[in-house]
Formats: sequence, structure tokens, C-alpha cells
Amino acid sequence: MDEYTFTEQELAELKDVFFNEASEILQSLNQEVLDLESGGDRDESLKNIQRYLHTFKGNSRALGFTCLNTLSHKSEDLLRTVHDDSLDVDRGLIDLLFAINDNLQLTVDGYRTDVPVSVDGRLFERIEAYLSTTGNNGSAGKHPGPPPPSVSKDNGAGVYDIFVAFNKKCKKKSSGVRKILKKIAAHGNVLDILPRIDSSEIEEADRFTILFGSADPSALPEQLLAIPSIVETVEIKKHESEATGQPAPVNAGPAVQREQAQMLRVEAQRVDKILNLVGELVIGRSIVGQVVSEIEDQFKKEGFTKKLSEADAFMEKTLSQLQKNVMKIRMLPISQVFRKFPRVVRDLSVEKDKEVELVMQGEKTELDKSLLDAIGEPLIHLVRNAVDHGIESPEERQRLGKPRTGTITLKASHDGNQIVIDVKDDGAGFDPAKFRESAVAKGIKTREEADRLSDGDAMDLIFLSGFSTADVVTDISGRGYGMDIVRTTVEALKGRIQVRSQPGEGSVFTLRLPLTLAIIRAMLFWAGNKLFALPMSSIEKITRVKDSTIQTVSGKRVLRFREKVISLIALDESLDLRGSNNGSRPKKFVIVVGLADKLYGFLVDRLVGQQELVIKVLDNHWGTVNCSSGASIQGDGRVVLILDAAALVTREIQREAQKA
Amino acid sequence: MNKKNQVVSFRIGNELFGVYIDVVQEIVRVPEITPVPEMPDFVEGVINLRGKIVSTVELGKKLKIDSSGQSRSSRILIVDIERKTVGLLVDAVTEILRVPPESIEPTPDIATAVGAEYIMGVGKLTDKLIILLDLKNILKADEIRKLSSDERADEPMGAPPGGSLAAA
Repeated sequence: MDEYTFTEQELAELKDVFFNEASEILQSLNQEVLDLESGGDRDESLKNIQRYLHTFKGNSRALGFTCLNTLSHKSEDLLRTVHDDSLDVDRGLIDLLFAINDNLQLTVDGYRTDVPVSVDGRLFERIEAYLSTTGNNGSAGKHPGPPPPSVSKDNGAGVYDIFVAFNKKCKKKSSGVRKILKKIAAHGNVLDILPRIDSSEIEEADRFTILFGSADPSALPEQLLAIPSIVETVEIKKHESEATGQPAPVNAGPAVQREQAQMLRVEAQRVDKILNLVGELVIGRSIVGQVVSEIEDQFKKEGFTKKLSEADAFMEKTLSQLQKNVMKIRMLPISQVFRKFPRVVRDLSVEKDKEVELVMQGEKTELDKSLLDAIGEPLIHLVRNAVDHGIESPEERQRLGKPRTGTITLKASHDGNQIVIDVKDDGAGFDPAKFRESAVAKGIKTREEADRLSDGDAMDLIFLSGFSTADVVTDISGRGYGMDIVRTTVEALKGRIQVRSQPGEGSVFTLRLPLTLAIIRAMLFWAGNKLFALPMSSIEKITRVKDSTIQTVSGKRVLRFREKVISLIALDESLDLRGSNNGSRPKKFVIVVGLADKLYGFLVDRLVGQQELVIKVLDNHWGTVNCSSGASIQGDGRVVLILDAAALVTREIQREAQKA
Repeated sequence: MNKKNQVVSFRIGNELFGVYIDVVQEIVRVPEITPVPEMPDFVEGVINLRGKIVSTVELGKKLKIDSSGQSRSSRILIVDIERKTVGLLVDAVTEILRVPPESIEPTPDIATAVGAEYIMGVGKLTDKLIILLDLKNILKADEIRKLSSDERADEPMGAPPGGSLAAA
């Protein structure tokens, strides 16, 4: 047979595809095991798990990932035995399956990052032990597999490759192979033969390989196979790599095949490239649009003017549809993140002796891939905290008259241009009084400030860095661990997070995120003589002010707003705008932004209105720019900076501190 | 003609400079420049280069040479420095010259206000001298200084909003 060797690049591409698929398969596998544990359709789950393992085995063998291949192979056998012999699905099996899943994932990660890893050998022992304790070891040969002559269980100590080179005089090679198979049949199990004996390739081949499982390799002398008329040389080796250069056929289950037929796997980068180009096209169109409206003004009566504006309007409409559709390609259902959680909750609740039920809602809610990748971590944090610190122990819950099993609800929904994710638990909740106490104890707030905080504001203190680390506030120990990191991550995604809670009844963390990071809805305004934009997501309210309503407190401008006094920041002064000369001109508007537990107001000259902006990266070659992370290009070609409210406020605080 | 020896020559104030042509992507007229707060003061701002946002350095300020100010002849050289695209604002682009390697003096012994770290060498042509710039250092030297002086200011970034501005 012709040995086809992949070029390095082809191999790299194949591996990439494999890694992506592997992770997906393992996630599905994980889900099936969870279903199995929670008492779903037993046979269906077992069949699916087996199918996933089989696909995984085929894929990993094709690329020569021996560790993966061997373990998945072994596990597949385990599953088959459990299924066929109707063994009980007990806790031990579930744990074993999770361990297999984790090991496979770990090994995949190892291969992906080029860190040499091998499957934990004890796992094989565990599988063997499981099979032997249930008295089902040695069910070999029971299950005729698809590749001839037979694929049966490899229940021995090891897997061997038997390399046989044909004697050139051997005419009927397939019958030669059969003879050899007969000879070795007593010593173990033939797992696979390459090339297949029923294929035409076998007659062309000058050598063939038997994948052989044997309990005792010493019982298999090479001489046994030395049939002179057929065999030239024989070599038996401990099996290392099953990749023979020829990818093994991947026998995916029917469901998997069906999915693949409808899906197109595309690199995210390619979609991004198209999205960028579409963005530029939109900008180009709006430049044309502006010229068109000038032409309309000048040549109202000409016939071509009408045609031109119609064509322009058509182009605009089509482009905006195009943009929406390209954006949609990047949109993925949040279930991709959610499906990690059942396992997280299960493992942690077992560890902490809690009884927790996880309810997930709105799993089909779609959001941009870049966001999807980024929200996993903060969500896991919230969910873990809910299990660890929110839900009480079953005994405690019983004592409180609550059901023994606590409930954590993950819920995603769309709200206009935002996605809203709630992480809710029916656990202990927070006591705002304790928050006030610890804020004072920690020196974050004075007693008076703390007492003035509304309950909601007091609870939002949890997001401040250093507020509730375990060493300081033992009462709510750990619950706040990393909460500031959660907040920072969410804010970096132009989102907001809030917590609401009733002591004794539980708490809800609410994340609000934009649907995408590539396009934002922003308010455009003039400050000084420059045009700026602020994302609508960071704007609480915009209000018109008269000079007389602005008061000064110890030299700083403040405004009364919703029963509060908020600090004002004049953007033109704060940004040191070159050539701005309107310090004395009365400002007309205040844009109120909310940051963590505080409100601030930006004083600006004039509002332009809301717009959808395509975000362009702002070069930050000198590493000095914090107040803006992106820019957008207007219809007239002008560059508009998109300001970062949090950075502006922080900057202003620093400036004040330096002055003082 | 060997492309390697070709130099784009330009003027800032009264001095003639050059950069090798292979780093120059294109030369454009000066569009509206949007200033960006917090960028170093030798950065004039950002421009829209056909949908791409490119920061533009006022080269005269960087080299501490008095420019004759923006005029009709002002141009922006779009250059590639270590895979970063940057615009260089100059008073005028004069011509593309061939500067053979043998005519380049490695150490500048002529009087110029430009710091030696930005100079690759001086090309001695029949009728003029041209200062060949090393663009790598033009971005780098200040970058390092700027970053180290900013480190202190960066520290409180993660701190909770509070302090003297907190009126609520």
C-alpha cells in the first residue's frame, strides 16, 4: 500500500481540528455522564457515551495520539460490558467515567500544548478492577465489532503491534493472513488489521500490521508466525503508535454525522476578517451617503439625483443586513458555557456535602463568541460561590424549614441590546448590616457613610477589591473572594454586575453585557471642541443642567441627582484638550455614569445622539492611553474616540490626589 | 536600481532626513488629526487611513527640531516599524534618492540637534547631506522612558473609586 505521509502543515491543521472536536466530544460525554447519574434514560446514555468514546478513539488513533486511543478504547469496552450485561450504574461507575473524561481532557490539553503527558496508569487498573469486581471480566468475543475478522476486547496486560513482511513468493496474501490469525488466536485478541484482509489493498501490500491484545506476550514467540511460504520477517513490539500514516476510518454515530452535515467549521479569525471588511464597507457607504446628500441639495431637479439616492438607500439597507448576518455568524448559544456548570455544581456539592439542584434557563440565548469565551470564568466563580457559601448544608436547611436540596438557577435572556445573566441561589443570602460593619471595620467607609448606604448599595460593596477577603471578614468569609475580579472582568466586557439579596432567602447576581464587542451603542457628544462617544452601557442617565444647579463642595463641582450628591468631571478640562478655550462657557449636559457603588457626572457641551459604532482598535504603541480603548470612524471620515468611563473617573481621582 | 539603497527624503525645518523606502508604506496628505488624550506629546493624534486608525508622530517634536509648521506641503509618511503602523508628520517630502552604502558615514560628525540614538548614519551626496533615521529607536526610546514613569501612576488603577472626589 502507498504510505501517504502528511506534510507538517497538514498535520498541524488536522491536529487543530482534532483538538477542537475532542473538547466538544468530551463536553458532550461529560453531559451524558451527568444525565446518566441523574437517572435519565440509562440505555440511551450508555449508548451515547459509548458512541462518543468510539468517535474519540477513531479520531485520536488517526493522528497517532496513542494514550488517548488506548484509554478511550479501554473505556469503550467498559461501557459495552456495562450496557450488554446490564450492570448497575452506581456511584463508582459514575466517578470512574468522570475520571476517564477528565484524564482524556488533560491528555488532550497536554498534546495541544506540547507538554508530554500520559494517561494515569491507575485508571486502567480502576477499569479492570471495576470489571472484575462485577464479575464481568472476560466477556471477550461476545460482541462482534464492525472490522473483520473480529474486534474483541483487549483485556490483557498490553497491546502489541505485530509487523509482518510478506514473502515475495506469497501469492494469495489474504489467505496467508488468515493462517497467521489462526495461529495467534489462542494467545490473545486481534484488535485490528491493516490493511484489512477483505480489501483489495491486502494483495498489493508487501507488509501488514496486526494490532494485538495479549495478556502474556511471552507466550507469543515470533517463530510461531514464521511460516516461510508467507512470511519474510516478523516483529512484535509493545504498541506505541497506531498511526500508520493512513487515517483510520472514523465511525461516528449517526447523530454525530447528522450534526456535522449541517455545521460548517470555520476559524473565528476568518469571520472576524469578514466582519472587519463589512465594517469598513459600512464606513465607505456612509461617506458615499454624505456625498449623495450634498448632490441631492445641489441638483434637486436632475433625474439622476433621485436614482442615485435610491441606489444609495438600497445599498445602505443591504449593507446593514449584511452586517447583522455576519455578526450572527459569531453569535453562539450560551449553552456552550452553561454546559460546564452541571459538573462544577455536582463536584463541589459532593465535596462540600451539600445537596444542590442546578436549574438552567434560556440556554439558547445567543451572544458574541468573544464574550462567550470571556464570561465563563466569572460565571464559574459566581456559581461556585453560590454552592460553597450560598446554599446551606442539608441539615441546616431542614432546621430552617427549607427543602433539603438547595436550588441554583442560571438564567440568560435578552434585554434590548444586552444580554442578562442571573445567577440565583435560595441559600443564606446576605445581611446588608454585616456589609456595613465590615466596610467600617476595613476602613473603606466611615460609620456615617456606611449608615447612609441603601441596602442595595451596601451589598454592592462586595465587588470592591479587598472588601471581603476571607482574612478580614470572617462572617461572610470567602463569599467575596475574587468578587472584585469578577467585577473587573465584567466591566472590561463593557458590562455591569449587581447583587440583590434577602437575608435567609438567597441572593441574585445579575450580569448585564452587550451582545457583542465589535459594535456598541454609544452616545456621541461634544466636549471642548472635540467629538467623543461613551458606550450606552456605562451611562446611567443624561440630564440637562443649568449653571445655577451646579454647586460647589470644597472647591469641587457637584450635582444633586436622585437624592444623592454626585461629583462632576468637566471632560474638556479632564482630558486636557488641546486648543479648547471654553472653560468659561456654561456646560449644558451631565452624563451620569455608574461605577461599582458610585455615580459620577461628566459635564459636556452638546449631545449629538445615540449611534451604533463599529469599534476600531486604537493603537497604543506607547502604552500610555487608558481613557479610551477604541475609536470609531464617522460618515465624514472623522475619528471619534470611545471613552472608558471607569478609566476617566480613576484618572480624575488620581489627579485630585496629586493636587492635594 | 537596487531598492535597498533607495531612501525617501523629507524635510523638517531646514534639515533633510531620509528613511529607507522599504519601511514606507505610503505617503499621504495630512487629513484631520484627532488628538488622543494621554498619548505622549510628540504624538499629534490619530488619523483615519482608509478605515484604519493610525497614530501620527510629529517627527520634528520627537527629534527636537523646529518644524516650519503645518502647510500645504506637509505630508504624513505611513511607515512600518516592527510591524506597527505609524504615521510620521513631516514638513515636506522631497524626493526618492539613491544613497549607496559607501557614501554613508556611520558616526555623524556634523553638527545636528538630533540625538545620535535616532541616527543610522549620514549620507554624503554630491550636493547635500541627508540624515538617515533609525525608526526603531524613534518609537522605542521614549516608549521605555514613558512606561517606567507611568508605572507609579498606574498602580491605583485597580483601587476602588473613592478619595477626595467622593462626595456621595
